Amino acid sequence: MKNLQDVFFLQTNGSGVLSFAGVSASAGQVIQVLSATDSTVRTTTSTSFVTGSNTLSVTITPSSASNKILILTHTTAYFNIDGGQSYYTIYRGSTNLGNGNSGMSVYEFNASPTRTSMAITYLDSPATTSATTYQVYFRSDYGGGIAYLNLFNIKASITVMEIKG
Amino acid sequence: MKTIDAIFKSIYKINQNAQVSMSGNDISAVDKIVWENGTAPISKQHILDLIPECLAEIEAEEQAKIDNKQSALNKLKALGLNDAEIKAIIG
Repeated sequence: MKNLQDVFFLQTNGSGVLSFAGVSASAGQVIQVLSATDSTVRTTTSTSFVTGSNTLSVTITPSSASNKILILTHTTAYFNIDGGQSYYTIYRGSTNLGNGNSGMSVYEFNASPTRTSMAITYLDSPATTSATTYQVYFRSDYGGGIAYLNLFNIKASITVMEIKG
Repeated sequence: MKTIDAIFKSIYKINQNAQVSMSGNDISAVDKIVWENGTAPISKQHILDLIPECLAEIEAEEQAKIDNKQSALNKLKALGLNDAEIKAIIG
């Protein structure tokens, strides 16, 4: 027979996130997981990063400012002009988590067109307990070139995991 | 992709500096245009009016690529290269 202190209760935060009452995670453990998908091709000729109305967006509220957020995304990328590139990145709110104009990933059309699966993984330290939105952004290398996201309507996803700091 | 390319091409004929985003891969994408970075919106009808002309240009460009490739292959064969040697050069 178990002692009372060994019995754990599953609780909800009212938003579908479950956890065990009275049990605190240790560093490195996953606290909550959220995800979103998009199965519509998005295109842009914008030379600055835009969403193109994609739905690869997740809003997470960290339970502690010291926790980290692991972001996992995958999509299919393409650019329609030989010698040009399309760039992909993740934004936290209005902040580009990538490297300025280059973002976090690039697709290059070099001599012959290929379509590529693209994944971006990033461990963020948002240092907040406020609701925080992560979304995929993309852009064209130069005006006139078309950058593609979710080519051929292939299903893409973004998953965020809160990791105990 | 040909339809999407034609929509973008139509927009560029009207405004060669336009920066836009679209969703979807058929003609309905013209209803979901987002005008980016201060680009002045263009009327849907103005864009649609140019689509047939743009599609014809895209198809002509694609045919020209096919014709040029075949012409190049014929010239390489005339020089005495066999198929394996040609493949080794052009992949």
